[in-house]
Amino acid sequence: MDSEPFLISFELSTITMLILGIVGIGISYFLAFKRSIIVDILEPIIMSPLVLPPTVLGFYILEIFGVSGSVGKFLNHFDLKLVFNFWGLLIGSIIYSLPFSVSPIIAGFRAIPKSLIEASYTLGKSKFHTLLKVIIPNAKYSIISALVLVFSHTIGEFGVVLMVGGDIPGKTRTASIAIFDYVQELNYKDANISALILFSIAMISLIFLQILKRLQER
Amino acid sequence: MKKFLVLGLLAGKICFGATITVAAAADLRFVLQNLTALYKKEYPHDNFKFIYGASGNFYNQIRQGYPIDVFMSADTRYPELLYKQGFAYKPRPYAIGKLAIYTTKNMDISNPKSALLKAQKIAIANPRVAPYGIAGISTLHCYHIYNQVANKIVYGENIIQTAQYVASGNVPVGLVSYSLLLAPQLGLKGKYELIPQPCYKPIVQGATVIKSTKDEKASMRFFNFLYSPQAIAIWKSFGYGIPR
Amino acid sequence: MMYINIKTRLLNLKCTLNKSQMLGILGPSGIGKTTLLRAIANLEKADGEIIVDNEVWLNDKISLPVQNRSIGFVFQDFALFPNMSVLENIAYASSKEKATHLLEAFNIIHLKDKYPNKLSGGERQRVAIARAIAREPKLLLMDEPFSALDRSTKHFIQDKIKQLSQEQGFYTIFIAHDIGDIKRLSDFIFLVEDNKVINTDEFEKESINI
Repeated sequence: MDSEPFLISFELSTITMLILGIVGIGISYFLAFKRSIIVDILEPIIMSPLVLPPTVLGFYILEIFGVSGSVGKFLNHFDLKLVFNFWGLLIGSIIYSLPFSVSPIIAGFRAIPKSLIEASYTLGKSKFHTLLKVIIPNAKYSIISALVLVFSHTIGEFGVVLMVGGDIPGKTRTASIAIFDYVQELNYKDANISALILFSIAMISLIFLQILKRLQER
Repeated sequence: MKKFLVLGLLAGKICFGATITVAAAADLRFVLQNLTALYKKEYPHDNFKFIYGASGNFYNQIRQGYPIDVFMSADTRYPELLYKQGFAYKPRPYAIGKLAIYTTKNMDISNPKSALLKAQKIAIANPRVAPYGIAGISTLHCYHIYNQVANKIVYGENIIQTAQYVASGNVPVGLVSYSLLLAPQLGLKGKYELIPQPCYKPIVQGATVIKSTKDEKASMRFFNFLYSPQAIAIWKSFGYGIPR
Repeated sequence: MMYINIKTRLLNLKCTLNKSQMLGILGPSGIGKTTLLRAIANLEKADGEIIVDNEVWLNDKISLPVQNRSIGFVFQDFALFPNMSVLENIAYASSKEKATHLLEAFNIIHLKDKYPNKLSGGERQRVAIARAIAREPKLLLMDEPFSALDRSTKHFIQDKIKQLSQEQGFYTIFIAHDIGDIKRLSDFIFLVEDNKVINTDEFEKESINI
């Protein structure tokens, strides 16, 4: 069995997780404490990958970032390509997993009593200082859950990655696509091993989340 | 890690030749293994990456900037279009594919028409993106049974997935590329019969070098090899016809 | 000197305090006392004027953000940071030395390494008051700060607050439902129902009149 698809999957998931950790906290902070029409518009947009078919996202990403897409055409001038390479996978994964980051973190932020944040303000601390020292530490279980969810969801991603990455061995063939290829080749042995590994990763992360939930309840 | 990969690739290029990425029609899955083995005897320093799929999908992806070197289609239309649109160099047909009926069940397929009529399901490649799918559909029309069997058709994403539906026993009978069945992986699992030629247009398969190739010399080297006498022998051994 | 003339949706407060003086707010619940206190801190919007030691906190043109008002706020729910120990809570806006000093003054130094969820209500209240005073505010705002304390602890803490306000010279405005607490501490009383500020001595007379 080829280990390269797994290396690519792990690399992709780790980078996606780190980026979405920061981006997720930023977006959640913006959305969690505001009550405005902007929030009511933005929240459904951010959550849309939860219900959209991956092919819809893949299609739009290709349309926008592909060589003949609007952004793609612009990037061509700088000899930058964002589809059919690792960057394409990353963009697709970030968009596709965004709700898995934002949703738990928003819930965590909203569960923090408002008076804690106000207490920090009355003690003369800035919003950013309060975010770092009060909000994030008190939402740490939600943030860790978000990171685990993003990691395992990115590992398991198929449709967007296939459309935007293009199944190029050693570049964009992730573990989940490799299984698809193994099955087509009738290579059931490698398909089996790969599937078992992905299954284990999924189970381990779900068990971890369960433990986390118990810790939080204590 | 990425850096090391890049360095490795660069080093590979300087010291050992090129890595040629080939997007190939799914019917080539097994024949290309033999073909590259032969190629590597002559050019041992060239390496290959193969991506198999439906020709129509590759056509769309190449137009979006798919980073491959050589495209081996299952027809001549897609390479010609890419050539006309300026994405590829002049294509050339390399083989003529044949369609076969394939089953792994204990059923009589010596008369394809009655076998297709009797079967509960028929696997055919998606004709919108797979040239073998077009041949499959025109075969049904040729037998004047399309309307009777249309709702029994199971569409595969490409021709090897279609064959895999039959090989796994999930679909009793399929119309697939003859060359796949000459490979032991699929052929030994069941039996097959060629579909008589007048029923579908010959599946003339063309290849082309993509203009964005990183190593034009190596890509051309492989492209030209496809038409060499050694290669022709391999094409023939996998049941392909040879274009004039 | 501190001058306050503030209008919230339900209440208007107008008063002048000298250094170290205290104002107690007395009135039934649900009448908007907490909102008034929050408005002084700028946790709620309000109109009016606040001038503290010649610094304008609020007028027609200026409204200093909460971070820039030198206040200590004791919340009704204490609002201690669960992720920090007692010492860290108090040192959050001051220093470890100052925090240790206050913990000793409030007789709760033994709690310094505990986390808020391991404290009783009374202990939390004392930590919350210590935290508000630790940053050496110009104005101490307290919302029902003695509700969870037993009588002797309450008197001890009240004396400490009084002593610290003399030493540091901060103004105090607090809400209490116990008339005893207010009489014991404050120089003035804001009688919410009558909408007037009176001297604590006058209150004695008034209550006799009633």
